[in-house]
Amino acid sequence: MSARFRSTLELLASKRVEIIVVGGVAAVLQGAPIVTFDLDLVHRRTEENVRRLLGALTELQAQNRGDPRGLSPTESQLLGPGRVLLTTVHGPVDVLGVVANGLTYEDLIPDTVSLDLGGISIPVLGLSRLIEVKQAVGRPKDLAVLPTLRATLEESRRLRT
Amino acid sequence: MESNPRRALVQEYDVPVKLDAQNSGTCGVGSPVPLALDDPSASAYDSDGVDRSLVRESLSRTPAERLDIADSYAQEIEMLRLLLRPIPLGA
Repeated sequence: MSARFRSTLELLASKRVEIIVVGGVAAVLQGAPIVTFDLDLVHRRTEENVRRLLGALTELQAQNRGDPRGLSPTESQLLGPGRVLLTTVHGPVDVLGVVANGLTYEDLIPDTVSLDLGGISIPVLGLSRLIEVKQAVGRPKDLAVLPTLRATLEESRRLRT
Repeated sequence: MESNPRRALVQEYDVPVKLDAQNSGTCGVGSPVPLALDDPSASAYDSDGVDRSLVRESLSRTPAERLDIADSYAQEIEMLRLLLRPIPLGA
């Protein structure tokens, strides 16, 4: 079976889609020992970037998740601030116009770290900002993972000193 | 309200042993057991119940390796879910 997070991220990088990895995969990439099943992305909502993103999503055969009609995502959906929940050939992908209290790609990009995934470099929301975002979102599933994220941040800072 | 999650579990399940927060752990899901004083796993957990040894092990890997592990875990769990899905009668 092919690696799915990697395959999706490699495709997005090859299409030069401007995204930030947030959520569980962002936490995993920075060392949090958690298991996650979907890839959460915040994208830059310009027309040009949304066109590139749509091109990648078409290759991934993306369909709106839970929609019995199996409709593909649209440009207008991706230009908006909402959450676009998708099923793809590489598993679930959530494309987010904003996170927490309306934070956009432009708001988050200063707090990203660029991580080398073996040939590709991917912008990932830094762990301390990810913790802030999860606190602000405040859903039980976000709060439940906070002790692990805080411990990971603490241990990674200890390693650096 | 009990602030130590492991101690709360012990109270919830009414385990008849007195446990110290630094010297207790869970074995499997919801089955708290006392750990011996010299058990090295006792020091792995922090006060929030996070296994720091897992965190340190993960931090010793590169982001690329962590991504590949996350990929394989997710796929293996999905495979198990498929295997454990009940087969309808007559299928």
